[in-house]
Amino acid sequence: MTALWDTSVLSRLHPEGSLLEYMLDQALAENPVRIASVALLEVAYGYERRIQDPRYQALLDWLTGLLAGNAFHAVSLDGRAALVAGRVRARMPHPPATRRGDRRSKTMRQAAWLLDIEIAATAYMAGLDLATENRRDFESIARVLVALFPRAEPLAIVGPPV
Amino acid sequence: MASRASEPATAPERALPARGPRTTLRVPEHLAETAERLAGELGTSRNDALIRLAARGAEAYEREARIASRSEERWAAVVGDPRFDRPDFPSDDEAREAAMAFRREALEPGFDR
Repeated sequence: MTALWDTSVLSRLHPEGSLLEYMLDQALAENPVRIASVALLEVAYGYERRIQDPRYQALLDWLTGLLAGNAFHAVSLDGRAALVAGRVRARMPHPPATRRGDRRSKTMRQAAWLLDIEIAATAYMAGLDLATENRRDFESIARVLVALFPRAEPLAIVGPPV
Repeated sequence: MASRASEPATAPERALPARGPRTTLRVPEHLAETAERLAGELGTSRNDALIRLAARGAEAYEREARIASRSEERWAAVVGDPRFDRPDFPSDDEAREAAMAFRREALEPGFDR
């Protein structure tokens, strides 16, 4: 099954990395990598914030070129996914208990939680699995989805492709 | 109640143009049915109803074309021209750090913009 990449996987995409090779292979096989639009938002933000450094300008141009060249397919949070995301958020307004060593503030964890819900709902409604390095939080969301929609095929959470 | 027949004849404004190229079409059944229904509602001819439906479709088509064109124009502005012939990229770790910054920075109270 094809999986939607979340931010943690997309953040590993680099011009000299193995994920790029995987992405291009998938594009050639006409089964392009799917990336959550929300993850793209996050990554573009991070690069733009450092745009004064020409290396990040180059990185942003490179990422933009991949999108423009259809090297991957960005999957949007559409109306169906937004509806599901809202219902999940209502059922589980707060992220799972903090992991040891997690020094993020409560506000940051809440913001990240909302983004994760949006990404999970995008994958769910697009009929995709979800690829992430943060399986624990997404598995919590998948359990909420099962509780909400017991007759539907559950959202499978998988690791990065390479 | 006055019967319809006794009402003064006030034909709806016709959509058929006085000028324009003439054409002969074979109309698919489902479209003919829609046109007949609309013609009945408006008290006009089937041809007139067909023109009204076509005008509405043409308007939607032109609107979608304008939206698609504007969307492409905006995207072209975003993509722009490559600024580096031989780009120097940040390292894996630096790129990763930047990519994950949204969660760390964007919604943090007191974040220094």
